[in-house]
Amino acid sequence: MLKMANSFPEEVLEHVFSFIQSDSDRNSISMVCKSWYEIERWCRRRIFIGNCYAVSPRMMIRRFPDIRSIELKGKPHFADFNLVPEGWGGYVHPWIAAMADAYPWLEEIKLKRMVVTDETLELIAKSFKNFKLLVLSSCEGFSTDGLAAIAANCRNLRELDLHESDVEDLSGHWLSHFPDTYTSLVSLNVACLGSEFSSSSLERLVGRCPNLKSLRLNRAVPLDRLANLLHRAPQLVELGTGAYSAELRPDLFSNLAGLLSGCKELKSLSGFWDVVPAYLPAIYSICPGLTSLNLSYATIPSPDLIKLVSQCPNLQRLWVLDYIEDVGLDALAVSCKDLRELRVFPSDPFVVEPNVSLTEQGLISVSEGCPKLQSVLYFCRQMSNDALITIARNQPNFTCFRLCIIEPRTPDYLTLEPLDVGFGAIVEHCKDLRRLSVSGLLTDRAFEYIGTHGKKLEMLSLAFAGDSDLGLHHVLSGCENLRKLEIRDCPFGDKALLANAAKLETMRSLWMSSCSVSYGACKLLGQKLPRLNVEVIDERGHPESRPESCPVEKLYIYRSVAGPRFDMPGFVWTMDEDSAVRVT
Amino acid sequence: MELQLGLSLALPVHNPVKGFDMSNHGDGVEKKEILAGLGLESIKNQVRNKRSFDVAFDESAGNESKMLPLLLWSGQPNEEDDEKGQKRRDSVSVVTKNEGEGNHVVGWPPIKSWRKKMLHQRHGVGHDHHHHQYPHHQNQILVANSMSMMVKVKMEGVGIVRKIDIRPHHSYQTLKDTLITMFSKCKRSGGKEGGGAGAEYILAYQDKQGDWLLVADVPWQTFIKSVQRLQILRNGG
Repeated sequence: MLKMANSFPEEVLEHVFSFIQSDSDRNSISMVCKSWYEIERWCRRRIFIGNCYAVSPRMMIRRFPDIRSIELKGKPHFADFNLVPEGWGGYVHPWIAAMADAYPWLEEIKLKRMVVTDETLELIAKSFKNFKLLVLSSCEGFSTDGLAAIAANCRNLRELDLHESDVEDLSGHWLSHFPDTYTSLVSLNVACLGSEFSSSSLERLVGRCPNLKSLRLNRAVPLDRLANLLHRAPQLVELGTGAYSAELRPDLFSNLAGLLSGCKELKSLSGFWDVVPAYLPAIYSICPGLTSLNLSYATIPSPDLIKLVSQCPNLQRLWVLDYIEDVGLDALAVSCKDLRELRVFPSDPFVVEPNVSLTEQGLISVSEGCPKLQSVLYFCRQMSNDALITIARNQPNFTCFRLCIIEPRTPDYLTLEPLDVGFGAIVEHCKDLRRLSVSGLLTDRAFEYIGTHGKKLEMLSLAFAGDSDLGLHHVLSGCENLRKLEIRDCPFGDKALLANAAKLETMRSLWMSSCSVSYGACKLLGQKLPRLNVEVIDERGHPESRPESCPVEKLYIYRSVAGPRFDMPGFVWTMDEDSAVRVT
Repeated sequence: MELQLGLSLALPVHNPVKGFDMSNHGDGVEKKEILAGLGLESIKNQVRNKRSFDVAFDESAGNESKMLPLLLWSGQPNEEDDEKGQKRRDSVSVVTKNEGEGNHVVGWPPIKSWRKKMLHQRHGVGHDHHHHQYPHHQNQILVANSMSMMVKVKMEGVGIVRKIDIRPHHSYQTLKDTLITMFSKCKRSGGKEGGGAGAEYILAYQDKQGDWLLVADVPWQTFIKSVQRLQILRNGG
């Protein structure tokens, strides 16, 4: 094999490699031999870095001299739920600054949970001559001024996606910075912005971009303006509406319905802010073609939702509020046989008493009726082991199963037992499970099941569960493919963590907050495992000011070839050899 | 190996850690020491967990002084589980409370802050006059409690009439604040930038008799019983 490989000219191998897209395959190629490593690194065009502190920009550039597309992630996932303090880090600027020099032909930047400044956006706008795609997902730190720089300078921009970013919204005027000659837009997602767009700038932009396929508007775009936009872009495949409400006007309704029925390519709908259900029938004509429907911001009562989903036989993805209720999920199970992904969000997560009739029954129905279902995120208030067992048997295809029973440590509501057996059934039956979030009352036994059966599990989220170190030990010593583990409010501590320390080097990251890991254990880990960055996050002050045995507030451990980071705020301490020496 | 894992942690580090051999079997650590070392007295729950761990451990290893057989744990079911589960239910949770979210645990339920913001806007500004009526087959008390009270709000010079739910408000101040947020964009485009929030506007309401009156002239409770619609007028033009 090696000899044969060496007999090919480099160009041939390079050409062969160019057909190989998956990151893991490219990684495997680079490990075959030195010459493959060399050839591969010169022709690698796309790179994914799951943790911006795992490697330095300099190291990336040294190995891969000609990257065109980068995807980079910053903060830990729990940042989504406010568990990572403000100012923690995840700054993208050093990356962009380094790439501005090294990769003048960079075309795509996708960032997730990173801090992006206007200065950074200006640098992007100026530095990359053929820049085509900017995705800022759950990012923060920039304003519409930065977006104006992108709009004004990136003539070849095809996609701008601000997915759930926290943008300082100075005005909607930035959109008018796209020059009149600019026509290359394919995808625009501005749903997270608040401001209204300046007069007709949006309409003009949409009108002059013939390849526009995806347009996700914000809440400030009223329904009559949506009609104007649809008139200009009947080729849309994906549409996020603005506010879907107006005083009932028959002319507006029929106009909208007519325009929508003309959008033959539409496959995905979202938005529906402030929806007036009376306007929903306007989309009925396109329902048969829909594969994706995100109604998770739309307050639509169950009867209207039932009418809607009943007309969407090809739906593959549905995100919806719990107003759909069990009866709506029954209808979904009957009508949508192609459903792959379901997310049900709580309309009122901060009340314990249910405000809608959504139980485990709805999920059972869908698991029975939708044979292709493989991904679920389900918020509910009651669950039983029997239900989980039924769901697991119905649907062994799950790759992602995230169940949130809203009240922590809720037992099986029928037997008052822990939900160990139920979640055990999920991991046992669903052999391909990659992502799992558990909730409800769980003992260490649940983690024994997870550790034993969760062979392919890559990401696991735990909260308010387990009784002892044994639980964490099961997970870390089992779950051989685990990459990300996030834990909050579980009584897991030093012993399990230290006993499985080597496991951490095989994982991308471990987050533990409000657990029982002592400062002493953190120091020990940092000292003994130099390839791990062990960061203690404690807003109460320096951990040295408390006894070693005192549990740390938050702990974030990740492997890194770049060493400790240099941009830590005052409430983060890294446990390196120095810190261990310093205190001994 | 003299020093073993648990001990090195339980005691203040007066000895540079020698034995960090994960597979190393330690000996002779008193349960008491472990507790003293790991258990924060103030967090009783954790202490209890440590103890129950030791109990569990003893059961499987049959030796009360060793701690590292945890590493050799061979997967037999733990008979203590159910009992402990019972205990956990009564135990005090080790959670922090966040003032901002009232009595809720920070970050729980796990809903993205961005989604929460939208949720809050929806409830606060109350564009939706429907959703509170949804739990039609819920008990009546619940419905009554969550019943919304939508009134139309018209701002002078602004084409679009908005709706606001009066029910979540308990004072004129919060109502005014919400209205200012709601119409701040209109104000800005109208020329005056920010300014003394709402100073150049007056708020009027129409009562059940159809008369237009100034908001805040009657007690809040009287107001919410009679308000039919709201109008924001420019002060003195």
